[in-house]
Amino acid sequence: MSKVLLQRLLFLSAAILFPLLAAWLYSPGIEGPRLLDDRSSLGALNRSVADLSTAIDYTLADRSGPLGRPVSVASFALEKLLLDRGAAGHKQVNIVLHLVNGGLVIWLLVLLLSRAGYERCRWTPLLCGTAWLLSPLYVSTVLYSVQRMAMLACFFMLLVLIQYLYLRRYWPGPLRWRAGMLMAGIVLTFLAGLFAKENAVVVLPILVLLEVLLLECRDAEGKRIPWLVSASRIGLAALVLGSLLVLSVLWLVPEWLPAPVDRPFTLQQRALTETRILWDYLGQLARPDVSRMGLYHDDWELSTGFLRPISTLWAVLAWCLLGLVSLVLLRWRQGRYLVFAAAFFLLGHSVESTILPLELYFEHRNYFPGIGLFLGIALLLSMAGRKWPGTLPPLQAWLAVWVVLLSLKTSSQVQIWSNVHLLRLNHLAGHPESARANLDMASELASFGELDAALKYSRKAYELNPLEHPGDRDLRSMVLACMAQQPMPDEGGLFLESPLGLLFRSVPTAEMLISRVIRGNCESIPAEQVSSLFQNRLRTMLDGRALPAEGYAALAILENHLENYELALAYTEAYLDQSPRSVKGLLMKLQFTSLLQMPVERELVMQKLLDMRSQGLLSYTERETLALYTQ
Amino acid sequence: MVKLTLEIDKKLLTILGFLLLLTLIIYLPALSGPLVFDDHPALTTNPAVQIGGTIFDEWRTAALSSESGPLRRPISMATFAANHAAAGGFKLEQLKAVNLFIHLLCGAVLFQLSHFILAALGYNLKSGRAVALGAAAIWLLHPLHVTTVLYTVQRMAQLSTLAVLVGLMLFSRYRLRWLERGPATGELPAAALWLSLITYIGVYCKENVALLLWLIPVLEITVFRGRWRGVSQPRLQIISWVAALTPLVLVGALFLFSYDFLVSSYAERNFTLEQRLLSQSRILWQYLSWLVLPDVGSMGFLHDDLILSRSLFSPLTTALAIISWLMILVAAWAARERSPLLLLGLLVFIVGHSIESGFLALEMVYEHRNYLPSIGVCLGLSALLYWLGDQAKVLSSNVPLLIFVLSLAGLTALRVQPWTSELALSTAMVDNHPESARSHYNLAYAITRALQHEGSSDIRAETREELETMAEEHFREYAVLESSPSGLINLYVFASRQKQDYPERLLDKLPQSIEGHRLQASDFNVTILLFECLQRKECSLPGERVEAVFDLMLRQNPNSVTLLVQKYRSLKLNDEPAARLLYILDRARQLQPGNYSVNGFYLQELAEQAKLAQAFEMLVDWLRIDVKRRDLARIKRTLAFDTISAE
Repeated sequence: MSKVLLQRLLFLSAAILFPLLAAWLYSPGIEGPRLLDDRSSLGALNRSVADLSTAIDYTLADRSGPLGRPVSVASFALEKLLLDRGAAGHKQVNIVLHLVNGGLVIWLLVLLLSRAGYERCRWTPLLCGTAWLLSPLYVSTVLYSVQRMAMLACFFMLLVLIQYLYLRRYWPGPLRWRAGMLMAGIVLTFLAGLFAKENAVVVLPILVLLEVLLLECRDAEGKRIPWLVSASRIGLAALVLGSLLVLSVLWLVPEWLPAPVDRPFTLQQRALTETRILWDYLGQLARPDVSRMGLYHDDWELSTGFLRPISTLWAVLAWCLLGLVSLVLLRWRQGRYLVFAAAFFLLGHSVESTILPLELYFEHRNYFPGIGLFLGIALLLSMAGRKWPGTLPPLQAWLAVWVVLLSLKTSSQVQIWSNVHLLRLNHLAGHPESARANLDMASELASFGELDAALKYSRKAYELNPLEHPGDRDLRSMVLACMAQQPMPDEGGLFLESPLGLLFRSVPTAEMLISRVIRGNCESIPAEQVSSLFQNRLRTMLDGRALPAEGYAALAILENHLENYELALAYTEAYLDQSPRSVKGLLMKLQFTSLLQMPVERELVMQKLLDMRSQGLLSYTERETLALYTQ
Repeated sequence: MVKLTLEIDKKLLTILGFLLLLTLIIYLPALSGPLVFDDHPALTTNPAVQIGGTIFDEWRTAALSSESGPLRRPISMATFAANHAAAGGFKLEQLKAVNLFIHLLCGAVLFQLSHFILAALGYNLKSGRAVALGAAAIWLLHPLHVTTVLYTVQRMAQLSTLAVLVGLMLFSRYRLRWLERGPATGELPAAALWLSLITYIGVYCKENVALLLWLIPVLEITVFRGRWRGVSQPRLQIISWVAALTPLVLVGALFLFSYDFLVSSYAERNFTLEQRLLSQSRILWQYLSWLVLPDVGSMGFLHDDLILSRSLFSPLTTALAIISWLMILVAAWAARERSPLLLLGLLVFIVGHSIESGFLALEMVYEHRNYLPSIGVCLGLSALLYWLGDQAKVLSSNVPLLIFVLSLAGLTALRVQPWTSELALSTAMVDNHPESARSHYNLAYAITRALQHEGSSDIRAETREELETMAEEHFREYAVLESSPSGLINLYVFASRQKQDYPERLLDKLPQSIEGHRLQASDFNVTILLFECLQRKECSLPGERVEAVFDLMLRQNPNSVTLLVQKYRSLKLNDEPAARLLYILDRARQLQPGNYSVNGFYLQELAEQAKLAQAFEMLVDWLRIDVKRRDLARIKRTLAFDTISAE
């Protein structure tokens, strides 16, 4: 066997073995729990999807993000139809998707390095791609079912980039049909990415920079393509001007931007804080500190000015320095490649880690941008290997050691994510000042009957979250008592701290309480007691908007359970008062007016629903429900 | 005269292969030998390393499961885990076969390293090959290394030696190239990267791979001598000297600025820092004499019969040893041009011993400590014997070398024999060291184990009685020689198990023994034996007496977590109030918040007392403290809530 053949075989074996290793490493994570948004986004999956019609209905009904993310939701619906393994199935699919993404990352790195002139050092992109695949920072993406949205968006963005790099091999050129196919593929995968999760849009500026910095708008013979140069310049100018515009508005006329709702920060503060968070992400990718990793980072200290905390200043200065170094590096071709890697990371974060009023810190936001770091490392190693021949093998050996260390950390992180209790306790261990981690601990303790300790953590969570409504804390106390199978704590004191006008704000907590009460999972707190408590408290709050709309809906469901249809109808009216075109509310009203034999009101609401049906505003399930009444 | 080249022809390979085969044959009978001493805490009583291997994270926790060294030697532990996973348990033959394989591999690398060194020193083809082979043969077949190869847990020392040998070989290979033509572009950073990688990986086998960074300048000073691109480079010589002297300066600074810390680390030893350093000067001579003139009768596993050096002149040999070390070093330096291998051998020997035979509060003597330091001596010895043969001009220059190697092979074959069974090994230890308390203890223990063994029912009553008497005698000998609580408690446990009618009387002297003795690891560990005896109801000591024993020991060593844990376990047998039990464990947790056993018992206690909220909070603390996540598997098992909720 020739040496070349042996080397190829070895490379191929490693390319197969590494993803298998990742699959083995991630496999315990299949046993992990559903979390946070899994419940709100996927909770209805089991109830709603039974066949293709309901699957389509479910897919189109999702309201996550401005575009509804139908591609991602469809993947869950399809999975339900084909696999139907619940949370375990979600995680299995996510793991497979992660392996596929890992393969695509390796492929992309091979292509990029090859275009950068390093086609011979294939082990470097393989190892860097494997480092991405085995990075512990991505455990909270892969094993958090609903983050399939981010993973699918990444999958399509990678396909866009890979196809573009192939397209630029053939185009401009004589093989037009192949170029046409690739172009169509790029458009389709880009759209699919966009409908998987909206931040797939970042692939567009990355394509511009790829053309400007790496491909240099040249054809296969090395000649510049004039129209591509012009197009790239326009794209680049739009990118720079857009960034400058955003920065100017942010710092000069921040009042033009909408104030974040339900967030403890202004957009300026968010932008400043993100300068530190981005460095932290880089640190967590390069030298992970798994003890801090997890879902909850609501204890992250907010930057309220350049000097508060002082690390903000260092972070901003470091980014400025990086910008200056990048400007210098632009003079050399090799330098431009490195600038592209840095820009990949920053542009990848441009949607979620800049001025949109989203939460400050989430690890899954690095799923796509992180590739920039691994690309940068691959480029640096390849450059070093070319400048100092003989250093590439030891550098690759060091890289392999790094991959092993990453895999060990990821492995421990997967273990933590494979057990709901362990995950909750670990969150608190890593983030003792996180309100959410304290809430999880409260639930954990309550589920084992330790109500006093649970209430202690619940109170701490309330103290840590300045935006929490006191009524929500009290509502939570009831849920915790319910979970602990203990009587309602201090019933007389509940909701007394609620400000005038709003009894509580957290609808999910109210729904959880009522759902438990109705399902009989709350033997210590009878449904009648909950009903009378809300009746009493709401009586003192005469305003029909003393609860959020869905809060009234939840109470109406409780009263329906208790067969207090008049009260249920009153709550439904209050619900419809706030959401007059809610199909759910109208269907509830139809139900109660039917039960209370109120033909006039029933007819009115029926007519309204029929009108909405004819306008195509009802989902499949809603149409089915309405049909029960029309028959 | 033909100069030594770097090529290795078939003939040379055949001889090397034969040498490796001979080593293999000599060691083969002992592959089924027993596990001893530290093998048990590291392997047989360490559940974390006993893995099936199907879950990725098992490998991580197994690798981190050792208590040895500051870095916990994860790579070595991973190899043990691999042994377990491959065989579905710890199979003695497999464990020792891996050790033997590493030994052979080290021998082969040593041959290659010697080959490079001799080429750099300008040896001719014939003598260079003979000396390189001789060095490898002496090292491979030396009886002093039996206790490293067959003592399973010393795979750690073997792997670290292998890493150092590979590092030195790599350095020599690069340096040979640079001697005449200098480095090609990128060769210098490539060499630095490889050597740093080997050091990094090596220290996770055993920390003394760090010595590679000291041995490289030693090699530069003694062998390559600053020669670069065909000329002598004074700047390189200066750099080498600075690199060689830096560790000495660092140690000096440590003594200057952290002397109290160094002294305090000797709290659990029955010797002081000064006594250790003085004694080591004699011990190093002992090691050297074992290497040059192997006396298998004085070799052994345990050397606690060693007479401590309490001052320069007590015993007098201490001063003589120090003076003679200085003299031999000066002589070797003076003769460095004519006999560079003498200086190399001595410096490698001393530097190689600098960690384990220096100021660290480790036990006094262990033969495995010579595994790495002996490489230089073996090379020097081989060169000396070849030179003698060459000078004598009788038959062949190789004759003295061959005779020495064959003698070593014979001695090693003899030394390997007792390693076939625990009883034979313990008997040999007592025969070689009748004044060693621990050897007596081991023999007594080996006999009791043999009596409890499955097939022991076939032993005739008379023989059984004889063996029991023998065991008791050795336990008594141990108690007399050791004059420690450990001796008395061991004897008490043995007598209780044999249902003798006097056992409690044995403990009458315990208070004096505890008060007049600096408690050591063996004293703490014997409390585990006492607990087990009480638990099995073989010992019938009243609760108050048990508590009194622990209180006495704790008064002297209030910070011993082992004592606190065993006190807790013993009191729990007597159904002491839960609050008291938790108090003891609380104290232990304050001392060592991340202690695996303490946390386990604490958690169990909380669960039994239905203090679930406290249990959860304790688990959060445990997760916070366990930064490396060593105990993650255990914590996860605890949180498999089917069990805890049932409790």
